[in-house]
Amino acid sequence: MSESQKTTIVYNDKITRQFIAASVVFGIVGMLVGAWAALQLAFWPANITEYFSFGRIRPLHTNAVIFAFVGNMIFAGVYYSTQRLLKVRLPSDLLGAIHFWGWQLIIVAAAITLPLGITQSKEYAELEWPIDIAIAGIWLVFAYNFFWMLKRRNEKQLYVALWFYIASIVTVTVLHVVNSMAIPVGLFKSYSVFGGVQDALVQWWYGHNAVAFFLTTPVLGIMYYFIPKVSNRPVFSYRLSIIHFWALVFIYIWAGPHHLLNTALPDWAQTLGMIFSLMLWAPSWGGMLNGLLTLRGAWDQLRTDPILKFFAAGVTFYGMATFEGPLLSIKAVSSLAHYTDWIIGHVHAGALGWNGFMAAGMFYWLVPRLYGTKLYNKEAANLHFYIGTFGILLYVVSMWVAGITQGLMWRAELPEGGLQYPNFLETLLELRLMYWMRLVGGTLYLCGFILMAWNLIMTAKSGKAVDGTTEVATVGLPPEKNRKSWKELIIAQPMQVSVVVLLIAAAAGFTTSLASSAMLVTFVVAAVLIIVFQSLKEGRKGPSWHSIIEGRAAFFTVLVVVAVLIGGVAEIVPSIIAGPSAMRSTTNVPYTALELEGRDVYLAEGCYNCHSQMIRPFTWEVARYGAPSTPEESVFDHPFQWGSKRTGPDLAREGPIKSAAWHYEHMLDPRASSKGSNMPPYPHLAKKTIDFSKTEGKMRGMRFVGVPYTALEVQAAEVSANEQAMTIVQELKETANVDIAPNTKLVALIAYLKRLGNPPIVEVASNETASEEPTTEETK
Amino acid sequence: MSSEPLRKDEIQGQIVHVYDGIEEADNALPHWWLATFFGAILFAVFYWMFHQSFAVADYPHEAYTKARLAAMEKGGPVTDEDLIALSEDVPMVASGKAIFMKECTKCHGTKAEGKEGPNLTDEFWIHGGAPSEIFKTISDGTPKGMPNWGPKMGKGATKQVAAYVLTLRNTNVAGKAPQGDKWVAPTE
Repeated sequence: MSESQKTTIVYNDKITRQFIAASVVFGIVGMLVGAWAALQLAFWPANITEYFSFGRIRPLHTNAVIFAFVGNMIFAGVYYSTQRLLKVRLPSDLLGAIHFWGWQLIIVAAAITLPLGITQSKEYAELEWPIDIAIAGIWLVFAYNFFWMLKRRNEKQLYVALWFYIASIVTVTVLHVVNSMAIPVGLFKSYSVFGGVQDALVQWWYGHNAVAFFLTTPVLGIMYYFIPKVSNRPVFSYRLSIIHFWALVFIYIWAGPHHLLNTALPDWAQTLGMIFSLMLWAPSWGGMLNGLLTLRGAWDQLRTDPILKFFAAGVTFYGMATFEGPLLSIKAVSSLAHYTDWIIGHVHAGALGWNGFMAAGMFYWLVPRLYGTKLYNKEAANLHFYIGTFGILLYVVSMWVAGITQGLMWRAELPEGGLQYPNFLETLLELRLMYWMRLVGGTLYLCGFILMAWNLIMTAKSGKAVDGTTEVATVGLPPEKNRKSWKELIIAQPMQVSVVVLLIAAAAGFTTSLASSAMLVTFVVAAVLIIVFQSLKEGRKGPSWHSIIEGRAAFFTVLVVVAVLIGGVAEIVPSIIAGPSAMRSTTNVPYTALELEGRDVYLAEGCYNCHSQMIRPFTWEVARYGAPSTPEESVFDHPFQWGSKRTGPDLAREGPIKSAAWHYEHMLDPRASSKGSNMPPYPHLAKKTIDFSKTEGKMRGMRFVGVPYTALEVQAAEVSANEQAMTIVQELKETANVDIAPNTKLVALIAYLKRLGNPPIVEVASNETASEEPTTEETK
Repeated sequence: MSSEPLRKDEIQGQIVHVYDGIEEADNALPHWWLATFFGAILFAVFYWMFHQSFAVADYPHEAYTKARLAAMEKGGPVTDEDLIALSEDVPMVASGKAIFMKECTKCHGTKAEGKEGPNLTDEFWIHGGAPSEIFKTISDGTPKGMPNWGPKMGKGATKQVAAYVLTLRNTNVAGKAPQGDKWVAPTE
């Protein structure tokens, strides 16, 4: 081994430099758009034209900061650290370039389509199907680059950072593909294959795990690489890495339903969502501990080194957000916090504190090294840290105050019954000051970020791009002596125990008794514990089972996939199986052609960003909005529109309450009927028209995903839409003396809004529908 | 991972791996962390059994139904006599008027002369002019556009508004044309 037959490897660091530049640019853009959205909430005239109204700006903001800012930051960190941890150069510069430029093109496509109202209207998955396909393709290029490096690695064992990268790459693939499944009905329009409760479950399984496997696990990997590098201190605990890694990837995937507590989601799924969220607390803090305790012996550096300040604060914010998360997942806490700004505050503690600060720390450390120079201005970096931290605190505190205030006002009941604040606007106007304070906090944070951009540019200018190198004794891994076959690894004790326990648990799950479902959870939890303990215990005699699989990249990856899939399958498959029968047995009636078009206007304008359609079973909520929402009411909703935030009131039972004339006036000038409202005006809806000849295709698409339109209804779409539109036009003429064209978007939207909570009464449903659809006997 | 013997760090203890110059120690897990880890798992199991297996506690929908039933039991039916008595109670009417000015003028006008909603100052009533019928209209709303104020304001406030509306009857403010049927007080 000591032969001087050494080979020098030059890393591809160009790709890291590119991704850092893109991350900084899109970080500024994304946060600027965020500040704009914050301004719109405090000051409605900031809604400029239909393209930049809040309903379209908000998805632009979330997509930009998640996928453009953090996405590019992750890729920078992953390419830099993976090449070094595996002592291998990125195998194909071309595929690296395709990844980089492909991703930037996707971002540009998002920035163009979202303001145009081209959206699937599923949160953080708004992009329409052609872009979704591009995302899947580019993501696979990334995966290919990564796994190709794993295959050609010159370091046998995989460091914990790489475990997290593996988990992120495979899980995001699964999440994106499943949640984006849709039937296209045009080049820029599709309907989710999932509807109602099913779609709610799939969407939040995705939404929550986008946070988990896009914003958290890759950044944990980055933490595991950069914190010990920067502080030059040993990582605190290898065994903590093992436990918190497996616990995190296994438990995280189950936690999605905590976004749907107290809704029409089946109770068992809500309960699973809540208890797995609570169990997530310790594994998350395991990551925080391993980050912070690595700094033992380096605390003095924190005084002088801005980079470590960012990392220490970032990890601390991670700890804060992952404590707040389980807290908010308790059903009682959720009843107060859900739909309020508290959730916005929670998200930003994570996004600004954890993602933003980890990114800043990484960039300040990497850029000088990538350009062979020193950081241009250390004081500016320190200043960035202080104004950034102050900005986060202002932001988070104002959102706590706003969220809790509004939550309490919504639920305030008078002793003799009834609401203390029956007018929704009263509860919104109370928050105005907090909305301005949030804007100040966010803007401060953005200023710090721009300061960083300047500092990084000056640093890069003061040096010259250099690529890192390393020397390896031999290229490629030497053949192993006594290599254990994968069969041996599978039948090893930790696997035996976990498989047996999981089988028992699954068997218990398929019996109908409730007690056996309790066994299910008990056994699943026991399985996790036993796996963990086994992997630790074996360490005493020779290499432990876990350290063996750390050297077996493919085997390790398969295990991660299995761990991640269990939760998703257990929660989602039952509702998918139940879906078709729910559609058949419902007494609900699909939307008319015009209502469907109106609903598409609702989606395109992003109404779901501020209005929920899900009334929870609380007396104060029923007093305000009407009877609790049922799963049947949204059974034909592809995608579902339950919403997650109430900047405006719930609309689930809006239909019977307001007249067409009221809606007309309200859409043109929301403040005419609702003084003080911050809703954007929608005058363009009264001018822009819908081509009803395309409605038939849309209904066909809906039929394809299972909505029981009859062939007749589909064929008559255009006629029916026109007829219904004329009745609304006439009503508007009579009641408000308004002249409006029947094919305008506003007429369709009014038809949809009038339908909410007001389904037509079905006469005899049984025989009629059967005769429309050819039965199996007839086709034979 | 290098094959040389690994050093022992003063603070972090024995180094077990080195990757790209990153040393990894293997400290024991803090006890308090283990307590939260196992504590949360135990809680999860008990919570599941409590709610799902044995259904000891009510789920949100069940709890809500129970609360509604309890509320319906409270307070007797609203009678014409009650409301007429209230309409003569000055503080009650004032309070009802305040609510009316805040919530009702949008549709009925500041003088109750009618806008989108009907004129309330004539002797014609779409949904019945008996005091208890007026209360019912305010409380339950109508299919045409009157919201159901009962659950929002509570029984007490709804009674107060009904009392105020009774005082407007036959004041004949110029406004929207009469709608509905003429209501004549039953003679005893």
